[in-house]
Amino acid sequence: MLRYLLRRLLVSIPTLFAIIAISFFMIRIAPGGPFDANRKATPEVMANLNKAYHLDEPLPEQFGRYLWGVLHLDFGPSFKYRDYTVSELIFRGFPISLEIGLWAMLISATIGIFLGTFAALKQNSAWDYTVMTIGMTGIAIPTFVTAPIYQLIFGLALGWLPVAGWDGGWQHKVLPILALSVPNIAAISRLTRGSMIESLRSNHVRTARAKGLGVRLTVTRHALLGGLLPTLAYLGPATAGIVTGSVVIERAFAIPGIGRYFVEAASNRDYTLVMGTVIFYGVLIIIANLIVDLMYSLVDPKVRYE
Amino acid sequence: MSEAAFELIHETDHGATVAGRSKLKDGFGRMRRNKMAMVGLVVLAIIVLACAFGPFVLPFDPNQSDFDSISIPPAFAGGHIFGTDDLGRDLLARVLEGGRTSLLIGVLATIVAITIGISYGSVAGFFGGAVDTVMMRIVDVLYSLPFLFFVIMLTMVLGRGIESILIAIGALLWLTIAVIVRGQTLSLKHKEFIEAARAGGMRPFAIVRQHIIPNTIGPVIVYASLLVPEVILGESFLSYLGLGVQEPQSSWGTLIDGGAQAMDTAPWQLIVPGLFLAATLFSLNFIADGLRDAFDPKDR
Amino acid sequence: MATTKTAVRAEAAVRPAGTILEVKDLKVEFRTDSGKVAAVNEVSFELKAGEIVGIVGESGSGKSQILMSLMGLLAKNGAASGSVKLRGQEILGMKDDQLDKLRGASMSMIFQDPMTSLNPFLRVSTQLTEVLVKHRGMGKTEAMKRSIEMLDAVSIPDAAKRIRLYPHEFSGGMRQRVMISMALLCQPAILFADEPTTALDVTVQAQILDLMKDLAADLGTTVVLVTHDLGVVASLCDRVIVLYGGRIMESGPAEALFADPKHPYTRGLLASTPRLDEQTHGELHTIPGQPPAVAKAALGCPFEPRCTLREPRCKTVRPIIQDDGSRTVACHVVSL
Repeated sequence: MLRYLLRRLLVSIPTLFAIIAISFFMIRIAPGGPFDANRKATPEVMANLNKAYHLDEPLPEQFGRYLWGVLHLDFGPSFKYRDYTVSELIFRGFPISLEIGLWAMLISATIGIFLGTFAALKQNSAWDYTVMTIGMTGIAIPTFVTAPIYQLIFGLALGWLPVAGWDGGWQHKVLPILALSVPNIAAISRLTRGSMIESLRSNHVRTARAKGLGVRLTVTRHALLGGLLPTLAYLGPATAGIVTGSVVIERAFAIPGIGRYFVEAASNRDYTLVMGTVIFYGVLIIIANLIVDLMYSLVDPKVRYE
Repeated sequence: MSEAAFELIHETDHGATVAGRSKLKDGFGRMRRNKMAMVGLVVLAIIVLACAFGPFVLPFDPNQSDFDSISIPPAFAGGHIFGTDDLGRDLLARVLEGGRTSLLIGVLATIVAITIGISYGSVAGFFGGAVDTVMMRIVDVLYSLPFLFFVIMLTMVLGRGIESILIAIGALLWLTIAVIVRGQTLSLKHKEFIEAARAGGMRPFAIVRQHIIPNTIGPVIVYASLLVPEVILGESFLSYLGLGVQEPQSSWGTLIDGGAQAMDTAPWQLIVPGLFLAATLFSLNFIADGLRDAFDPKDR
Repeated sequence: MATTKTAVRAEAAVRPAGTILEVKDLKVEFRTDSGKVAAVNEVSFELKAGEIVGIVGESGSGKSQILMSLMGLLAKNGAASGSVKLRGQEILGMKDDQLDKLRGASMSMIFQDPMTSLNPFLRVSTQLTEVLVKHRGMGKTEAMKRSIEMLDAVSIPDAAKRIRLYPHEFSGGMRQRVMISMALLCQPAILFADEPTTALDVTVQAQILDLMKDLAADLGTTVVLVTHDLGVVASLCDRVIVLYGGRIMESGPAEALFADPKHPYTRGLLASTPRLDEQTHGELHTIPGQPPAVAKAALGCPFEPRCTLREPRCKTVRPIIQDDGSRTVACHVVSL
């Protein structure tokens, strides 16, 4: 199994390299340098600035310089926030985004699997249809619509929770995590329901029933393992979804995480910050996928021996 | 139907003559029985018609500010059924116009994605070898980051506005279709009728065009129906972040962004466009589900 | 030839004789889009301890559904009616939690495809020991010991090591042996086998059948074997029940039935089995026509459309079952 993991790891390296390269060259091609906004600067100052940021060197050299920096976790200085390096900004925002993201993932997975299994056991009943419709709702309505609505209901109308902001206290975390979890709960419960229904119909579950193991053992030990595989595989893309969702959530709730930096950087043409966050996200997703692969191979013995 | 019963009824009465029914008719028949999909179709039709013909029916111009009627809540009285925004523009007119933008982008991008995806996927799958390997590598890399991140980066390069959104989304949307079509092509490639065509001297590109592509349309249509809401969602997402459609044009994304900011004083500015977007996405998803159920009955 | 260890033999020394299973008028119906369909109709038979009974029929004859209904494994749209008594206790219509006490312990089942019938995600050890833990209350170590002994008994080489493997690491024949050992762990009174050798190579088939025969004899287990293969029946079974269209056509001791088949369907079946020791002149014998579309509720004899001996009343009047104490036949034309 170690070999399997190492192989997956090796495959991700060229992918990461490609992400860095693509981000780098795409942004360099983009029209308008970072200093266009500074029309007050004279040509000499511009030249000096360009030199200081190495923008006058040929592209391949710039890329090499950048790559070297990345390997040392140095993404260069932010073009917009001149006092800060990109690494500082990322590491300031990351713990916050991470906390919200992890909670959202945990909650969506637990509730989603539970609801999905429940719906599968009570297939075609009223419970089943309720769960499925809620599922559809959760997936169809985007977070940038639901987030303000939660703010409206729980923040403004009921006054139970703060509408936005961040002070580390739990009140500020509830709505963002809720908004981020709901679409995933919906997707995971639908997926789990489908695959659990199939698993419950499978031959090996029939054998478990024939052995007189009873509902609890049959479901938890025999049906669940196979039934959860597709959901497990989905957790990889689900991470990507949470990452994308966090961008919206942080904007809607004014949370100082990396997502907010990313969007602002994109608006401001802060190249180094954009590149830094993109690469960072890329690494995050690659790691998440590796973890998912690991878990998948733990459940499915056939995968381990490939 | 239980497997047991199916096994029993499987033996047909070979005495009776069976009239031929095309798979397509079968599928659409099944779909008509799917209530939710039909509801979705109706709702979608209403929204599309409203966005298309609304401007000719409504007395208000979406860009006409009326400073006498700023931020009026919804009321049948003054004629502004859904109220006005902070510049006095009729909200319904704005929403319908925004809808036109969103829907148009959704359909156009999907069509472009299908065209590119089918061509590329069938060629890659059919010719195999180096072409196939290179393409799969590219797809792997582009899958490593969320779709929208690449789109955002592309908009940085291409600038803002509708055209760049179309290009950015289109540039990434065709990937999954290509993967699906490639997979279909790979399994079709070895079927006998393809061999027969080859033996008959048909040129490769002609085979691809006449035999492979028509047989891949099925799954593509089902997936494409999922793409339209994805595009609309993507565009709204970008516009909400301020990276998409720009003033004076509007789309549901920009309207929702504006509405969210005015949430505490004029919540209808958020709710109305939000409802339209949600209803559209719902309908499209139900239709997509219906299509998938209809053409792949195992998956119930 | 499989050999069984003495440990297994000694435990089963005392096994009550007499009727183990009484099935009266078993009917299995399914609710479908085209209405109610009866897969099994008016099936009655009795099993004595230690007997090996073969239920023979084509696909669609309802034979598997008989086993499913007895084990309480019918699909959701299926319903069984009639009476089934296991050692005097009525089990048809029992609730699942009551049935669970019997399943795996007093009556077990093995299925056609061992690859999909074993859980691919669990080690064989888990799948074996859980039966003992659940039904006999054994601790893990003791259950493990017993399971290894059982694997030995079914001739799995190196059982102590192999037990920790996953199903996909066994070959087809070995998997079926694992299933058999799993079914016999609690020494059930009855073993139901649904086409256990159909998915296996011919050479492996013979080994598995021998194994089942020996184990059944040692443990005193009654075996109900469902198959479409007459060769399997001939080599293993004491008694045979011939099923067609969900109804019993003929039944009796295997030797007598094969030597002197009474029912036209049985005769057709035997005649159409290709034999290695005969010269076939010209074409192989077949029974003309197709098995019934079950949706049609049949009056009269279900075999009538394809029967060479049919008479007008066969279409409208159901044959009464003739029973001489040892053999039965359901036919208007033929008599015992």
